Amino acid sequence: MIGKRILKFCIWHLVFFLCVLTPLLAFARVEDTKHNLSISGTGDVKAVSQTQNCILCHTPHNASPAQPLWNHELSAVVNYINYASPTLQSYASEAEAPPIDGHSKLCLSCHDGTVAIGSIISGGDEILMVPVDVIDASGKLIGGPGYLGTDLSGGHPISIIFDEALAGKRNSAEPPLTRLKWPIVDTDIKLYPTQNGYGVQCTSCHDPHENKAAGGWPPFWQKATHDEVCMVCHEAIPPGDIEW
Amino acid sequence: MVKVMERVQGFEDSRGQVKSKEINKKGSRIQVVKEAAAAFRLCQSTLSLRAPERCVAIFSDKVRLLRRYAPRNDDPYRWIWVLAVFIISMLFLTPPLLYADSGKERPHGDKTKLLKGCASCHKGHGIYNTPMLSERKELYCFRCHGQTMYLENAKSAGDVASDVTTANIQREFEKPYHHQIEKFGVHHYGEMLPEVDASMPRHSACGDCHHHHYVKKENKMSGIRGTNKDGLKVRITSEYEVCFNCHSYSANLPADQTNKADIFNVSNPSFHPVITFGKNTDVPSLTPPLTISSLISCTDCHNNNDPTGPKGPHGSDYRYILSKNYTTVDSAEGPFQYELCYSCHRRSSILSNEGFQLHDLHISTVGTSCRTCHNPHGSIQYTHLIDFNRASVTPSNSGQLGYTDFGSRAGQCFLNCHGKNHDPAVYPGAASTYNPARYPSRVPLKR
Repeated sequence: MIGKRILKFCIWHLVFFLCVLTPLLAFARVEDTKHNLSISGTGDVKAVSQTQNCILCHTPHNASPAQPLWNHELSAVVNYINYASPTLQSYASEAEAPPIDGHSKLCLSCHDGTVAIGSIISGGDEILMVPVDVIDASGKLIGGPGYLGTDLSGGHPISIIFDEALAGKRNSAEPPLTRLKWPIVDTDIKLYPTQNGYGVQCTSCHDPHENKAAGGWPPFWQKATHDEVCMVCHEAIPPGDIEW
Repeated sequence: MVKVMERVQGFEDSRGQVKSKEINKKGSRIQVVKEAAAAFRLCQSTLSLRAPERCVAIFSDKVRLLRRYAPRNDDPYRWIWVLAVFIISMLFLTPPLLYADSGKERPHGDKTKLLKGCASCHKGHGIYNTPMLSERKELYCFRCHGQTMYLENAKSAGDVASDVTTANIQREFEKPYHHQIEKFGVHHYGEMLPEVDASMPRHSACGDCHHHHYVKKENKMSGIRGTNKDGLKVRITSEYEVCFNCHSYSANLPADQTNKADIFNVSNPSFHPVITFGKNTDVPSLTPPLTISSLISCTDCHNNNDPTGPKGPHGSDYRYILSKNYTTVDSAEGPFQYELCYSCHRRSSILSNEGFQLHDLHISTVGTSCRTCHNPHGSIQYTHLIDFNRASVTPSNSGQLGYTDFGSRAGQCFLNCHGKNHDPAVYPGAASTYNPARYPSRVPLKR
């Protein structure tokens, strides 16, 4: 009897180590991604001499009040062109779109192209970047796949609250829209603070520290394939014998 | 009393007995349960006043033991358990099966066709004002449903399977008569159809008739909501309900268009059988298999003029997006002239006066169009779709304009047309008194 228990204990711990700890040990490092903007960076955009890669976004002291440990100058832009659609249930029109906040605001501090990539708050002067096509003379992002600009109207809406009410509203819409799931329970895809609630931010789909996408596309993706991310919140196109 | 208690006690503490003696003796689990129930009743009748809960406890414990030890193979109700297990397992198995097969019916959900799933269309941060699309919404469908070259590009990008074939719908919209998809950006948030804003420009987009996600191969309007004959939003059961979204109670109907729900209203004296069966039971010209109890749909007339091309009223070389030619102005009769009408109403029947005995006179001799007397949709005034085209027809010399139906193939008209005063003209009987030479038609005669 005792032998059986010990065996069970051993098996469960083995499973735990294999399933939970091994991936953690094998975690991809931000150093290996394009977000390593230090001199050792692997992408086009990198610093001339800065050797620390965390410093472009994070600092342990005197950080931005926007987010704990945040070290990048935030964009002053408030009038982003937001996503709008006749079928959007979250807000009524482009003009009524909620302001970009939370994590998305942090991402856009580089990706909207209005603040120099090397503009950090603490830890020294502006970091000089190697001049490349995708950044201009003042160090701002002006092109390349990472450049979004201030027109966000072609992307998924961000900084929107996603709650049961929104899912209910969308799922009862006429004519029917692709349905939303609720609640959202996933290890990778999460809802982050926005508009005094929780909702969709850049980080819901993108992991700035690593890319889990097989084959490297989509960039900084939270899951192995593109559609796995969509399917966390959106229901698949339903079976043929159900008329909506 | 003692006997009862012995018996009950026997059930209670006889785990081994139940297994060996009771079951083997009684044979069936059901029988033993019955036995237990009998004991319970007996117990209840004798003990209930003092300790009813004890009977229940004894009984339930007994049944539990029986369930555990009873052999199942001789249970006469075994099939119920088998069925229950089967049904429950089917419930668990069915949804994945349905989903696995779903793509077959909804091509846009079929990853064997759209190889990248969602990402075949939605990827990255799209261009201005799109749901993550690389082309503006109004043109995006043509990436696969347009020129062959576009589809080939989508295939080489790995978005679409190489064996996918699509019809070139884009070409249909290049025809002279087509639904107005070129008006971009008119759709707006919370748009209501039928349109409630009279100032809204008339427009249409692929999405008005086809649901980009839920469209099915055999039901191109799957997922779209329609407007019924009363102007209420409904799930579509008939095709006309899609058409009525824009062509019925819209506040922005152009001056030359009418509310088709009014024209096809089933309380009208006559209408083509779109909403319900026609009222005229005497239609000798119908081409088989059409009968007086047939229903037709809008696309039976409004469709692609190329019978080999993609179906649907996307566009046509003929006016009103008609599938065949239909001349609405007075002109010489010919098979092509009223080709559309003749496709259901046999030309030979019409011109041999099988129904209205003066058809040949009017159509062939005088050269009037079908439209001069008939409204192909319906008539809110008269039977037989009579709705005079005021471009050709004026009131009679006595100032009257109208038609009276006298019943079976008989009636009279008050009107002036092609220089002939019908004041009234009564049929049957007028044919013999008619002399074409006295009333030359305005168009050359064909025969």
